[in-house]
Order: sequence, then C-alpha cells, then structure tokens
Amino acid sequence: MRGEAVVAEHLAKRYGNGVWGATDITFTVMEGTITVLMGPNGAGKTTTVGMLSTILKPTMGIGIVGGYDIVKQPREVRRIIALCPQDIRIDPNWTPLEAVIGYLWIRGQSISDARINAKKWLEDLELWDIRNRPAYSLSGGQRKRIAVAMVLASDAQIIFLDEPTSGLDVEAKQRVWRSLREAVKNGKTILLTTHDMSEAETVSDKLIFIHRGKVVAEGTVADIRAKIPYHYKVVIKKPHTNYSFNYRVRTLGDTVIVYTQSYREALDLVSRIHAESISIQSVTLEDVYLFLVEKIRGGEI
Amino acid sequence: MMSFKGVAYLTSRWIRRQPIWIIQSILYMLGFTVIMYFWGGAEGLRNMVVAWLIMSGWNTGINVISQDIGWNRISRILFMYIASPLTPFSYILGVFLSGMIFLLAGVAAIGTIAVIMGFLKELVIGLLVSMPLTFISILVGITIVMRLREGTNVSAVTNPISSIFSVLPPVLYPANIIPETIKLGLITIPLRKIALLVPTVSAAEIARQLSGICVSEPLWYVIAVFIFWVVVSIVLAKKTLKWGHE
Repeated sequence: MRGEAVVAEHLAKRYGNGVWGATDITFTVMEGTITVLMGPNGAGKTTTVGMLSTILKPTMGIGIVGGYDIVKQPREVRRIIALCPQDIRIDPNWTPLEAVIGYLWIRGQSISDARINAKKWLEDLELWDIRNRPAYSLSGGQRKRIAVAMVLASDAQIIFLDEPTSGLDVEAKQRVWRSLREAVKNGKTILLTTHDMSEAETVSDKLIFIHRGKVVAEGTVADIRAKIPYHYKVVIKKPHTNYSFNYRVRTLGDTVIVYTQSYREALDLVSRIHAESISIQSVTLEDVYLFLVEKIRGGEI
Repeated sequence: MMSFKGVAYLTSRWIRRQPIWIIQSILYMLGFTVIMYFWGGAEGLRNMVVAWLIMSGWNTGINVISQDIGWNRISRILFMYIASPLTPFSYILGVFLSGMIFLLAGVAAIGTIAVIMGFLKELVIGLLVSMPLTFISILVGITIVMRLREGTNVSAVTNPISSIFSVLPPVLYPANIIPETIKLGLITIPLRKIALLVPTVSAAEIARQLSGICVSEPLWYVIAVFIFWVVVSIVLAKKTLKWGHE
C-alpha cells in the first residue's frame, strides 16, 4: 500500500509585493508516482513547488513532505528532497560529469557512489558521450538535461521538477520522460510541473490542474477526462457554409471544433458537413482544461 | 557534513577552463609592485606588501565569493542547494574555499616578494588583518548580492564596489599623506578621520601601525572602526541571508 509522499492543505503564498502566487492549493502525492501539476503560465505551479521544496515560506496552509512539516521541519524535508528549478542555468564551466558528481557530493554521497550514479543517469539521459564537454559548448536542451540528471542521480526520495522539459525538442523530451518513469520504477516520487498537456498525459500517474492559484481538478487522466461529458471532437477546417450545430462548439477563425459525446455522433456529423478538411479526434486534456476554465469563469467550480 | 567539498569543487571549476583570471590577478599585483618600487623604493614596496594583502582580502570577499553566491542565486543553482541536505554554513565554507584560490595565488606572489625583500613582519601582520577584513567583505557582499534581482549582471555591481573601497581611498597609499582636515567655507571637515571610516582603510591603517610603517590616527580609533564594521556586516548579512523560506 502506498503512503502519502506530499500533502498540501490550503497552501497559499503572498509575495512581498502583495501579489498572491497561490491562494488555495490542496492535493496529495502518493509515494512512487509521478504527479503532474498543470496549468497555464502564472497559475501558481512554481509557487507551489517553491513552498513544498522549502524555498518559499507559505503565507497560509500546511505542507507535509515525506511526513515532515515544510515550515517547522525544513531540515528534515531537505534531506529527502531534490529540486530542479524552472529556468535553471547550469554553470557554463561545468561539464555534465562534474555537475552531477559535484551535486551528489554536496548531498553527501561518497565520490565512488557519486561516480557510479552519475554514469548511470548520464547514460540514461544520453549525456555520457559528452560528459567531459563544458556546458558552454552544449545546447540548451543538453544543459537542461544535466540539471535533470543531477536530481535523478541523487538519493532524494521526493523530486520536484519545475518545467524540466520546456524548450526541449521531442526526442529530448522523450528521453527525460523515459528517465522519470525509470526513477519512479526505482521507488522515487516525482512532482512535476508543466503547461504541456501532452507531457502531462504521457508521463503522469496523477494530474492536478491549477488555475489562478487554486486547484481546480485532480485525478488520473481518465478522471480528469470524465470531468466533461464529451469524448470526441470533430475538427472542421474551412466549412463550405455556415452550419449551425446542436453541440458544444469552439471556433478558431476559419476552423470549427464540435464536441460530441459518442463516436457515432461524430460520424453522423461528418457525413453531413462539407468542408476543406474534417477529422474526428479524441478529446485531449487541453480541451478538458479549456472547459474547466470556462466552468470556473461561469462560477460552476 | 563534508558537503562543503562538493560546493568548493563545483564553484572552482572555472580554474580549469579560465586560469587566465589568476594570471591576470598576479600580473596586476606585479604591476603595482614595479610602480611602488621604482617610485617609492623599499619603503614604497613595504607599503605595497601590506596594501596588497588588504586589497586582496577585500576583493576576495566582495568580488570573488559574493559574486559566486550572486551567480548561484541568479542562475537558480542556489535553489537546488537549498532543497538539499546542504547547510548554509557548508555552502558558504565551500564557496569561501574556492575563492581562496584567488587569494592564495596573490599571497604566494606577494609573499615571495616580501621574503626576498625581508618584509616578513609586514607579510604576517597584513595576512592577519586581511582575514577579518575578508570576513567583513564576504558579509557585505552577501548583503548586496542577495538583494539583486533576476537579470542583474552580478559583477557589474560587485566590481565597482570592490574598486571604490580598495583603489580610491588610502589603502595603496598611507592615510597620513592626506590632509588631516579640509575647510569648506566655515566648516572644517576631519578628512583623515572620515577616510579611516572605510573598512579597507582602517584595516590598512591597523596593519601599517602594527608593522611600524606609519601612524595616521590613534590605534584605538581605527580598531573601533574595524569592530564597528564587523558588527554592522554581521547584522546586515543576518537580516539579508535567508536559506530558503523566502
């Protein structure tokens, strides 16, 4: 039976300039899982990770990480966590090998253990062949992967990754996702933030939607999808005439997206429409998110 | 915890890739040595030994160590360190040890000159006084860099501060060559006493007095100024330095 690795109860953070970075964050993260905090820019993801990783002090609420209180027992929390901050800039003078070994040394690993772990994770993230090249000669994606390797190679039980794949190409993202799943298989717990819905869908065991500093939905991908009654969408590009639909519709310029509950309804719609192109697609998390935001604006959540 | 070794290791990586900084630092020192020797003879060089150690101590704290901390903060590496078992003491110790490379390179060079010229007393006293000055300068530097906002060029802030406190006031030259007072209309300004309020100047004056080079103001005055700076820098750094929980 899995225990709770992270518990956030009504966490809120007000910055010195009076701006609230988070207003009501409540969720749990189970041990040995990847939980993804999702939301648009400015939703409060980084603030939430900042509070849970003891970088920021919550203004209100309770945070428990690995059984320790983030405000009262920061030292204990720090012993069992690792953080890969958003937009981290690896020192241009470090090589991937030096960065990982140095970081593990800082965390108290012996040199020999640090070397073994560094090799494993640098290989896993496909950085081993460039292990002795200084970061200034590496691409942005490679530098970012160095930071990911540093935290994954650590002995931390709970790892916070703040947008670790933003700016990475598809292949590099896949490598990181594979490594994250590998880390979880080895017993680590990961809390990851992203605004990339496809990333959340691919890598997560649990999703938490944050909007304007509040958790608006949480659960598995299936749970989240079930928050709206639609399963399919018909994407109609440049329709030949102005159709009226008895379904939920979203218009993007010359493209109309019609949401249906069943595949049969979608097929039926396709047979009646004439347009430059028509396709039937499954509803994505992005669609769910847009519906949830509409519900929030309408006061339904 | 031996975590400070990891910090020192990572913070000192630049040496392998950019050793020219150390060479530049030594050349700078040798340049001043030549100027002082040919202009002021052995007495000029004696002054120079003390002054260089004081300047090096100050620059190491504010320009090397604080710059590293500022860079770690702006690059967010510091957040990785905070969210780890590393303690603030181990962190600062690690950064301090890596910064010592600069200081030791300078000390080795000036030490060789001091030994050749027979200025051992000046060398030892200069070193002893530069230690607490380095401490003050680290704390003052931390106070400054912890307030820097993202996107700030850390060295663009610390370099001028370092120079203003070491090149401009009487550090390379003794305070007794500046007028004791100056008159501005009806007001008499105690210029020398004011100059000695600068931490680098008071440190240089203490070292010069203890080495028997010269006396500008009573020793109690410069020691009091120095102690004042120790207290102020501790208070300032304590208020500014936060290890997480911002």
